[in-house]
Amino acid sequence: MRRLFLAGMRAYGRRLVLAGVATLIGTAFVAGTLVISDTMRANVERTVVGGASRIDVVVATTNRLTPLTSGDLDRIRAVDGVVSAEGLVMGDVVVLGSNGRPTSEQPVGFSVTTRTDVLAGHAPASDGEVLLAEQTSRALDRPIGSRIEVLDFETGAARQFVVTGLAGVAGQGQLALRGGIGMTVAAAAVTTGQSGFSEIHVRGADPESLRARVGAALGPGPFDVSTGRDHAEAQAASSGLDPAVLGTGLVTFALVALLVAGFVIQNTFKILLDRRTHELALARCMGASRGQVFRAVLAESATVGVIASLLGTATGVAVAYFTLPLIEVGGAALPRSVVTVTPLTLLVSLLAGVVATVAASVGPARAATRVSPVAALRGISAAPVARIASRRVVGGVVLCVLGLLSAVVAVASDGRMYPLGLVGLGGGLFFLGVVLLGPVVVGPIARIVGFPVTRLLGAPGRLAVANAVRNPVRAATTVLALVIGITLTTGVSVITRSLTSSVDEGVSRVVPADYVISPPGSTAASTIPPRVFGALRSAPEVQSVTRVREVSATIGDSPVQLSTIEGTLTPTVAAGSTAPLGPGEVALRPERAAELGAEIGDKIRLTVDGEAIVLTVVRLITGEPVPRIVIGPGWFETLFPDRGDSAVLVGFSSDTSPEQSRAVVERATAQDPTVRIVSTYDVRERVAANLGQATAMVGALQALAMIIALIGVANTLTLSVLERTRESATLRALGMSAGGLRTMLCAEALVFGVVAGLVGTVLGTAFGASAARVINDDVVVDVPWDVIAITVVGAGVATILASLLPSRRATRVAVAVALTDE
Amino acid sequence: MGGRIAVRAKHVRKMYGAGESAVAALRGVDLDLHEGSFTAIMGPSGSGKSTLLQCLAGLDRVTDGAVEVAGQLLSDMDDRGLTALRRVHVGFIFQNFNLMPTLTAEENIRLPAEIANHEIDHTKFDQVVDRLGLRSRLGHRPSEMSGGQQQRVAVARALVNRPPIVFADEPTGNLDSNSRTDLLEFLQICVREFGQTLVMVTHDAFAASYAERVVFLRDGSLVHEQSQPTPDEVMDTMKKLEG
Repeated sequence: MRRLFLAGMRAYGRRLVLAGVATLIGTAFVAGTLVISDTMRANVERTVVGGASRIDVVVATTNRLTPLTSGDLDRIRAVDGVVSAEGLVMGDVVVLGSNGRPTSEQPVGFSVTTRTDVLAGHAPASDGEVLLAEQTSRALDRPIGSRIEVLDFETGAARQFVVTGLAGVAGQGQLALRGGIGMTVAAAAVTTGQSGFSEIHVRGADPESLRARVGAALGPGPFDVSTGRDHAEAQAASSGLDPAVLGTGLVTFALVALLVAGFVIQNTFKILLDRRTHELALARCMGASRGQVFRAVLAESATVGVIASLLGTATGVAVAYFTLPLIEVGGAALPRSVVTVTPLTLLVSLLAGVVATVAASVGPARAATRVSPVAALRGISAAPVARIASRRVVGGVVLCVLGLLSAVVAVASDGRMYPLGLVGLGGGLFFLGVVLLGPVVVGPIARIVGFPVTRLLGAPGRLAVANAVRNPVRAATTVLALVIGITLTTGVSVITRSLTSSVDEGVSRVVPADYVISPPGSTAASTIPPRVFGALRSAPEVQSVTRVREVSATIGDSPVQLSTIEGTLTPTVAAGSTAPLGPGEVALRPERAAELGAEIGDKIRLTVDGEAIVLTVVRLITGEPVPRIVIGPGWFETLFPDRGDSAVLVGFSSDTSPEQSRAVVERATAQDPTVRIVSTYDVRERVAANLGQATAMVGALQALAMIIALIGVANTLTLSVLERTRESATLRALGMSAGGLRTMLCAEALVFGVVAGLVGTVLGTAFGASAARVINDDVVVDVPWDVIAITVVGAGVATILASLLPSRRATRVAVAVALTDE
Repeated sequence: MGGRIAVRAKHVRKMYGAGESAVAALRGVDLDLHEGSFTAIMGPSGSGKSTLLQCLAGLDRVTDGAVEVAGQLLSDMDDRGLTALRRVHVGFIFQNFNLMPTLTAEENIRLPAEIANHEIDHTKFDQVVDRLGLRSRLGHRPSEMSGGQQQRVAVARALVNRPPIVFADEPTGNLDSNSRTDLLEFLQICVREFGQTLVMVTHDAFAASYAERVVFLRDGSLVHEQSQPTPDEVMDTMKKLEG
């Protein structure tokens, strides 16, 4: 049998190339993803080691409202074995850009400690100096020696600093994600408004025992005491994509790619062995056993698998090696020295490729053993099309029903992770069902899809549709390979689109405006000058503008805000009168009324600046952005003349672009550049960008699966063209032009593509929508029709492209072949 | 006889391969076939009879010489021209029937018209189908029919469009003797009733005896010709040629 195998490789080797390419891509993908996740892990380890080398014990608060105090710091310094201890002040700051306005992306403000990794220059020596994270220095264009302005937290006044150094922040949690500006403890306290420390960094010998002693000295409290290493690990994990999650995700996609490759390989072997029925029967006549035939076929697939996997692994590693340094992880580019290629990676990807190839050929090989020796005597006839077993149909229907049930149960139940798993399971089961049912349903679907093709293209169209489904098993396998990629693409885009729309809707419900302007400082003394409201009210593009004014007051001992709201947005009256609020009248939010135990008609007493004011509750009000204690604007003006605004909300008509509306808001605030402007566009954009990144990544990975599937289409068509050489020649003899023959093959490919597009988008939409619904019960299921249309059309076009090579081959057939005996 | 020339071959030479390994399949064949004639081309295996048919039908290019079909010089035509010629002037009957396995008998018969975008002549369709006894088989696929039935479908396919010239390559090669006689009688009727020109390659003396004229090929040259021979006369000539 070795001779037969070798002869087979010689004769059919070129036909196996395409199957090999499918394996190659799949294996390259596995190798590449393994290298990526190993490298990410190595990179995390690198930053963890770096961080741990600079601190030995960390005390970190677990509750932002109760920061660590200087008392805690003193107690730690007194602990035996502590060499040094420093408090870390950390919080949001407002940095001004070169235009004097707050920048849109704000770095985190922090105080410099031993943990700080100074890459260049030096740490701030005085309150007037700062250190910038490398990426922040780049983003804000503030090199060492330049000046930078940061707002005082309370007053909102700008403070000048000089940049004296650059810091590395890779793997340092928030700092890695948002960048940072490092200051002295005093400067950090003023700019962040933090009264205490979020962490205390301790140096000393033997971290483990030091940790215990520090813990004992502090006693119980809302904080964690950990070693520098543990802390660095936890921080690294929150510095962006968790390498473990990323690795799992990537490997999942790699497996999908291999699965698709498996379909392609299976089909190739099936078709090739169909063509060799005669030859195999002859071998059986000569005394070859079933086992020998089986082994000869497996040996062929193993050869293809080994060669393709070797090439694929090399390709994957090479691609990862050259592209990884281009990726920014945790705020810094990956140095090439971190790229990690382990022997395990090589072994796993080689094995995966070989196993997938051999496993995919087991089915066709078993079918080949069933060739009866008598077939050798029958001469060449088209291989009989396998009958579809009824067991298969029953199994398929059962799996599909189970899959649907599972998804329905998941959607009906509440909860998060468990139902999401159920949807996944349902999708998997349904897909298996479709795999089994494929050969049964592909015919009818293709005929429906093919109807317009037949109509438009006449004879070539009719022949194309008939050819596409003449071997239902083959057609189904070809289509399914495509369906996998299309289903995943559609599913993911349905999920992300739904989540984006839900966030949009949520944002507009909570903030009924396009822009919210707030004062630069945080105290009641910091307000927005009234000219901003005035300017916005007279701007023609502005559709709605509302301002809120507040003064600090007390009721009994508790501090409250006494507010008034004026402008387009009006509170919803939940109970009580609807007449305008007069002097001495007050409206309360229901929750505030409940706290005060006040009902309509009751009187409440407030103290403002030591003066008592008595108010009569006349109504309860709700809605956004309605403050809790509201009096009429006229009376407010009488009581607190020329009081500035504490919030201005601006809405624009829907035909105003974000750029136009921002320009209007910036003009209105030109004299008060330090006010904070938050745009809901920005919020929406950020959410969309985050999800968009995920979609883009998933999309790129699935494109690979699609490419493998398209190779499958090209492969099936090429082999079909070879099988039908005499038919093609006959058609030419009967008067079909070369173009007609090409049209016929294009149409056949198109039928595959459109059927796959339809099945894939239906599956993807249904299961994507279920998943979105399960992830979030309030989700607005938003089907991205544009994406679906593009997917279906794209699948059609791509398959037509895949048919170009096979159709060229078909037209090169000499017409005289029709007369040959073969 | 007389009439116009339907197919004309002039000094047709056909070489396969190049250089020293070149093999001459046809060594200067001259042949005129009149409109409405029924000609059989005979010869031993390897005599070049199939090559001659392919060259006459424009399926293959000649190395030297010229072929005219319906007054048009084939060597002047590109692929497009040849395709157009096939659509209008030429029909084929193959030894292996060459029906499209995915189409029914009726669809197979209508295929050439559909390919050429021609309207099919319904009277002609009915006439041919009834004459060949295919009425009850129209909805069947090739795999559901016997060899004789399949060949009759193939003949119907070649005739329904009334091509002036029909080329048949060993049309009886895969048929049993009953089907063979039926087919040959029908081919004769085609020539007589429908006025079509029929060129048939065969190595079967019985089949050749149905032709008005039998030409004999040996080693790529025309060596003999008989008019309305009996099967025995054909057989004798063949024996001489092979011997």
